[in-house]
Amino acid sequence: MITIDDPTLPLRNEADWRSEVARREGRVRRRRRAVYGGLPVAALATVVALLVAGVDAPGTGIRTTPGASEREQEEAVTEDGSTEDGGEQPTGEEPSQPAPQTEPGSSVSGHIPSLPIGAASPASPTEAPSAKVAFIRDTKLYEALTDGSAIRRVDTRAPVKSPVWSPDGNSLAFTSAGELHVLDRRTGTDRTITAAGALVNAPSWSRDGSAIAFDRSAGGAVPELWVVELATGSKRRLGNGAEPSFGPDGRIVFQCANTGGLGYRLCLTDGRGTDLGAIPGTLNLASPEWSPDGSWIAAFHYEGHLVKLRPDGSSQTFLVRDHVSRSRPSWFPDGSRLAFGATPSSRGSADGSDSQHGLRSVAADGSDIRVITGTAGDHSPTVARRGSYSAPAPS
Amino acid sequence: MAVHAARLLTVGPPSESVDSVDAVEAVDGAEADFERRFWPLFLTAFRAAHRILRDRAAAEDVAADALVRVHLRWDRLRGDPAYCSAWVVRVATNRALDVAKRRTPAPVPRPHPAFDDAVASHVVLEAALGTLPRRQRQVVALRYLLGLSTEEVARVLDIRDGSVRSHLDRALKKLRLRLGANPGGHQR
Repeated sequence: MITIDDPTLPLRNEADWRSEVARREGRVRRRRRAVYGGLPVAALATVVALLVAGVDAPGTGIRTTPGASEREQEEAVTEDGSTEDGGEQPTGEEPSQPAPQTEPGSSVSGHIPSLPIGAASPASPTEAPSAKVAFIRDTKLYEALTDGSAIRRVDTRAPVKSPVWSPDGNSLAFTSAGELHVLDRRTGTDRTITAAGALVNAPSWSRDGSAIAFDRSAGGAVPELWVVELATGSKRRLGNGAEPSFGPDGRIVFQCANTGGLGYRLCLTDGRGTDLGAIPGTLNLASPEWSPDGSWIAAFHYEGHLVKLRPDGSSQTFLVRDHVSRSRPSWFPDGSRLAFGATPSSRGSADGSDSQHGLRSVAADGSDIRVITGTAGDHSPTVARRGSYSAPAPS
Repeated sequence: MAVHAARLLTVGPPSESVDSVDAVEAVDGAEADFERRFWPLFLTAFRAAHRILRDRAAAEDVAADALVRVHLRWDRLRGDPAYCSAWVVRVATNRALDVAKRRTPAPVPRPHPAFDDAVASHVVLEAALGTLPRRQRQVVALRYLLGLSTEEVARVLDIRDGSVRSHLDRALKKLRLRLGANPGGHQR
């Protein structure tokens, strides 16, 4: 017997995973039936002919793009879960449907809209307010407008992680090599806020721009929440936790360990050292971000969804299902939309392509997903609440 | 799961056939066997994936997919527990390597004194692994991330010990070249 010397336990319990495996297996079987079963030989031959032609098979509900057909064939022949080319591994997705129109967000118990593959179109600047957005591409800092135009590299250190605009839109806080930096975009001054010694992560500005909250961990220890006053450089520890986000009233929402140490959820602190406890119903939510007016908190669900909820935990709504990468979402200045990193689903991309890579924005009700960038690996968008953006000169 | 389907199929016209009753019992036995071995196999798959991904949520996802595959071919796997555990390690490792290769690149800080050595070397190794051919990637992950012996690696991949050693040798030469040239290596 092969034994792996590792005492780590899963986040969810045995019963959950038994039912999840049964559910996934059901999807695989339904997909196999949809593709191979219940079709007369003549119909199968027609589908094969259509597959070759790369057109939709009418009445089958199967969009027969070449990518999809390759995936179905792979599913049939793969015996040991390996992919010969090391590429995408098909795993129990439903047959890919023609790209659905996004529907408004729904409650957790209802239908959750998927990221419409290939349906999102570049936003027109005339249709939605455009703000400046910074993000990470290949560990380097970039900025652009939220309609995807005027992309340029920010000339600063690399690698960069967790960028976030200051409330006045003039500076960017980010971490690099575990240190916290503030870059003044007008002067180019790069100020090191925390010295090396522990890994600093996930900075968040207070709404008046005077302080930054962040998490800090040393040597694999439990992350701690800290706040640094920028004027004096004085730091205070708020307790254990990770990925803080300031609200307008000075409260901080952050990721905390779940009772018993398995999994995580969202907790609140008043920002001055008083623990306000866990937000109910937030198991497996992470990377929270408070909306500009403080009425909502957006968060990442660890299965790859984008979620919003009231600060008291009520009205939890899935905005985007699957395809959301693990980075903090960012609200537009007026709270009408959210920017997020898109990624092929961990359960395999629906059309076998990489079309889901890049940055997207979604309306705060879960409708109207738009492309910001379509480049694989772009992540960690931060939308500025204020500040002008001068487009780079045409080269 | 499959047992429910089998039971449903046998409902309907009552069958007196001894054969079909035996068949149902055989399926029931297989199912009970799977239920019994589900969690140890899940943990094996989870831990294999976790050694590669260092992310419990992602490792759970890989393990769940691996267990789906195990159950789909349980009739072929259940008779040989040693082969079954090797097989689930192979599935989970392959899947985890695929996930690692395409997940959002995490910026890698240059190791400094407080940056845990084990974490640093893991991240750098994971990044460099993506540059190796598939078989070499598997062998290095199984040997060094999962900590298996060369004999165990051979069993998991169903290849000869000598092949494991030669794949390892070639992979290490490439990794040394790559990591030596770029000691603070960043992902991608």
